[in-house]
Amino acid sequence: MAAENTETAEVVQSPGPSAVDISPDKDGGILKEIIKEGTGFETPVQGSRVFVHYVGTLTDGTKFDSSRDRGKPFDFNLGKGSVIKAWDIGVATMRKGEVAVLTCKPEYAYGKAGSPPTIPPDATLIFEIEVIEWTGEDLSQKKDGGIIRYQITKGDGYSTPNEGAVVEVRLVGKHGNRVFEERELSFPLGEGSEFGICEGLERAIEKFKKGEKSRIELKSKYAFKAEGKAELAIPPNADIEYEVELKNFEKAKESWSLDSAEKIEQAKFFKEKGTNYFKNEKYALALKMYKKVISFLEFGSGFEGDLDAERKALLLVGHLNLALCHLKLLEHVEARDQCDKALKLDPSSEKGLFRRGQANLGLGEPEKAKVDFEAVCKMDPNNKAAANQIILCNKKIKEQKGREKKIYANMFEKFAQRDREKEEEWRRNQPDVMKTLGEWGQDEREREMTDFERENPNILMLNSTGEEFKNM
Amino acid sequence: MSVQNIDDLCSELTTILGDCLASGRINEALSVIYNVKYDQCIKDKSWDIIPSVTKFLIQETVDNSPEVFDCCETLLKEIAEKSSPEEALLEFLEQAESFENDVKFLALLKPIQIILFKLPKRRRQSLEWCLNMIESHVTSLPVPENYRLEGEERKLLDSDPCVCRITKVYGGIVPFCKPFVNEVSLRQRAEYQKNVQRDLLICFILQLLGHPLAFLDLECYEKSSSAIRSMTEELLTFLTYLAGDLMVFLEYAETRESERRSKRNENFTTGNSDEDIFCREDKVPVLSIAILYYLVLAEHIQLSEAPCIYSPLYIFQRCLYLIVVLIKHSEELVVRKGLLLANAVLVTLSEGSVPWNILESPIHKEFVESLSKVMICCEVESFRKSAVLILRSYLFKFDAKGRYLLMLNLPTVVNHSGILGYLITQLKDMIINALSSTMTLAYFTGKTLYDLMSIYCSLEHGAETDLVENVDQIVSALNLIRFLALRDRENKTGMWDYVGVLEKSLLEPLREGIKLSRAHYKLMLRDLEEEKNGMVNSDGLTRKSNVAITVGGQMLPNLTHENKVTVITSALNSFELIESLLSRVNECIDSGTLKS
Repeated sequence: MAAENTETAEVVQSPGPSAVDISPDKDGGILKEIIKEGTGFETPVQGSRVFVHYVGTLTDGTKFDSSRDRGKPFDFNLGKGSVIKAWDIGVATMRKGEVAVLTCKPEYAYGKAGSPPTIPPDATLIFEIEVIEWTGEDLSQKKDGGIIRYQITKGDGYSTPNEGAVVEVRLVGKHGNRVFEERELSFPLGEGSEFGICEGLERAIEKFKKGEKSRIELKSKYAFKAEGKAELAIPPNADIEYEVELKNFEKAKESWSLDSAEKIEQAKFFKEKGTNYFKNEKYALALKMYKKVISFLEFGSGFEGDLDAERKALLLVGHLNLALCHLKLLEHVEARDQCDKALKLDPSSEKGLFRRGQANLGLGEPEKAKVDFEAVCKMDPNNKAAANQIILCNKKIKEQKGREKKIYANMFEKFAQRDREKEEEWRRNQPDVMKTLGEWGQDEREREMTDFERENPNILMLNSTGEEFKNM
Repeated sequence: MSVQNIDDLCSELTTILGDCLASGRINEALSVIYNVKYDQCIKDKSWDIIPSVTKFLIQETVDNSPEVFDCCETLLKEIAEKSSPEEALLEFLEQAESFENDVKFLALLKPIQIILFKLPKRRRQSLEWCLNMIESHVTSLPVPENYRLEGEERKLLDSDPCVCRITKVYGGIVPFCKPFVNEVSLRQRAEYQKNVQRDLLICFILQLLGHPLAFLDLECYEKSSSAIRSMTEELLTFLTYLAGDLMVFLEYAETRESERRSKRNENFTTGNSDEDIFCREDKVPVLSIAILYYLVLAEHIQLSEAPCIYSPLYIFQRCLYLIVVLIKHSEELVVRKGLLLANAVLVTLSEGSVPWNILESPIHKEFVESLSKVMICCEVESFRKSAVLILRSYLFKFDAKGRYLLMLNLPTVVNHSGILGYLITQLKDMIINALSSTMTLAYFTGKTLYDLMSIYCSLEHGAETDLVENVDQIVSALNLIRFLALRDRENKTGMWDYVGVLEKSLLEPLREGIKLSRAHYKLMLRDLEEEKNGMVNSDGLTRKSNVAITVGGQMLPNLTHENKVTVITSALNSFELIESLLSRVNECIDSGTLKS
């Protein structure tokens, strides 16, 4: 078989009469001629790991590459852009066991540049390909076939969610033919277990692109293991499958591909998440989400027109909501700072003023708080909450005054007391004149040594306390 | 034969061998080992006999009595043949584990190989031990230091003692593993199921490509190449035999990259047996993968054997991470390999062919960041220059939107006036490109162009910006504006709509800045002159100058009076230059607005 195929490839230097144009634009870029029909009707889906043998020749008959010479079939993931375009398109049309010749124009191969040293510039390539088999894409780390993906809809772009990134998915779980769960949720990758997402499914989602929809087959050890899951009526050691769609996810912040519209989109995504957490009283999480909203909008460049207005609105909401979260968490300083930022964007934001008032109140600054609440009332005289807060402020101010009065009331008595204590201490530290009288005084010690002392250096001269003199 | 008897014979044998070798009676030593009388004792007691021979495996023996050394080798081969393999292997391995003594290590490879061939069934474990032993010897080898060699000078490295040592050791290892590679070579049998020995050897060879090979010169020159190069070529041939498709490791580079990103903050657990062996950093260091692709793609070793199906874009994306790994190193020759690899993958892409959405990967930021470090900080001039060319080539491989996004984001990474100036020149070229081709102008017109201009054509601190430090950027920015004013009279780019803004953000503060700076520097010049006069008056000898000059916020170290004058004069000259450019820009703008 092998030898025969090689020969055919060498003879065929221009596409045969039965060749069909399979290029998407019908520009004659990829011509396919079936040499041997395959079995069955199935063709490999995107992402499949396809095993092929192939021989590549140039139009002049020169063989430039052959998997048979390497002694091992060539395998690749279909539709991932890892091979030249002609292959991703061509092999996707082939069935198991099929042998076909693809004649590929340079635009679908190596183009103007060629691929030195073997492929010259602007070369048309002829591949004779035999599809041996394919498997779903194995996503398990151990490559043990425990997590297999079959793509249904291809995703966009190139990136996949990082660990810790918030993902928004829709999933349908099946055990045999029975659907055991169907839901839409979002969760941070890596914390799936908190949300009833099994290990294997989480691992698979890491490899999804935005908008991708795939079927994931999980062996029990990557799913609910020997324990099973009673709530979902999954018996021990059961293999299950999911149909998953990754609707959206948090992009890496270092990513450079985000244009203004996408930044807005990401910010909205997190604003929604934050609001959900907030409603469920998970303030710390909500805080985290709102911070991300800000991080996507912080730098002004690139936004224009409507987008700029939207950006400002989102930024304002972000800061206001951050303030609210901080208030709930009793972090008044941070809350006040966020309000300041919000008010910088919109000095007449009622919410901003109101929340700053609350923060100031929390910080024990009722006078400052009162100014904020009064500003709110001025803008909206019907704001009862603010009016109430002003009453509260007045009460606090009064209380504070009362307390101050108490503190300062006994001030003079206190100072007098302290002075008395000081006087007492000073007296205690005075030297006892009676004891030092008649002994050597300070000036005596500093004198020159006498001749007697010089001659008898080992005589100890003692002071009144019996301590040795330091100059001897 | 009784146990007692064997012990006696064994000590007799070791004594004789020791005496003969010490006194150079090699024929006698050989005759003893061939004597059947000792066969049983060699078989049972090899761990006692081996040390009596290996102690002569030192450099001194090679220098003084090479025939004794040869004899030792023959003796050890004979012992390996006759011994019971399990015990002898352990003893040989223990003996070979001396990192300082290459002579001994190399001499023991042959007997170890002989023993491994006697153990076909339990080869896996014993081969793994041997390869581990070799690996640790290799990784302990010191690497040459940074000599800042340029071009042909690199050939001198061949005489560096570290390089000589590495070459010698590799010279022993390559023939050692050859037969084991051939046993499982895909070229020999069409059996391609997973095979432990094959995986083991693949990991081993990849390890050999990492440290210390990464630090050597592996380039090929017109007529000659370093001695180690041919060994490297052979290692890659082995790898092709074992793996079939050399490009498969690109996929592992990808997993490694994403793992690193997601696990950055966690404790990385090595030795997790659940993982694919090629995914483990302790088995296949990412540096090795990077060196492999440097060798294949930049040095074209085994490239013709690699499948000719992979898309250049895929190879480019996968190699970016490897390039970053290489150019982040501090050793010059590793950096050089990174630059050569970058060049090699960029060459295969045609201009404008790379889609913008691959910028989703954060690796691009890392790439530009580390590349700009090379451009600014690398000590070898030719590396700095080639990094600059790589940046340009990289930028122009992208489609219009990609170029725009890159230009928008680059200033967040590089904040060096020289590079910013260079980028502005690139921006100018991109605009020319967009204006003259049928390609859509979308990203280099209107608001988007203005976004770029407002980043590049502005003064960071307004009129107080240090003009001397930022002269490159300022000159390029002025040139860009002048170019646009001259070239785009019909306002295709929409530049004219923003002239007023540019006036405020750049031109006006610049005018003010020149005035301030010039006055400042003239004052300094006057101070210097006064100081000089003062000094001449007092003693006329001391040249120490006390006028402090700061450039870019850094005080210049003790300069002589003349040097200071030069610095100031050159600063004043740049102000002249900026000013003359500025007035030309103004002329162009004025004449443009009159016309429109």
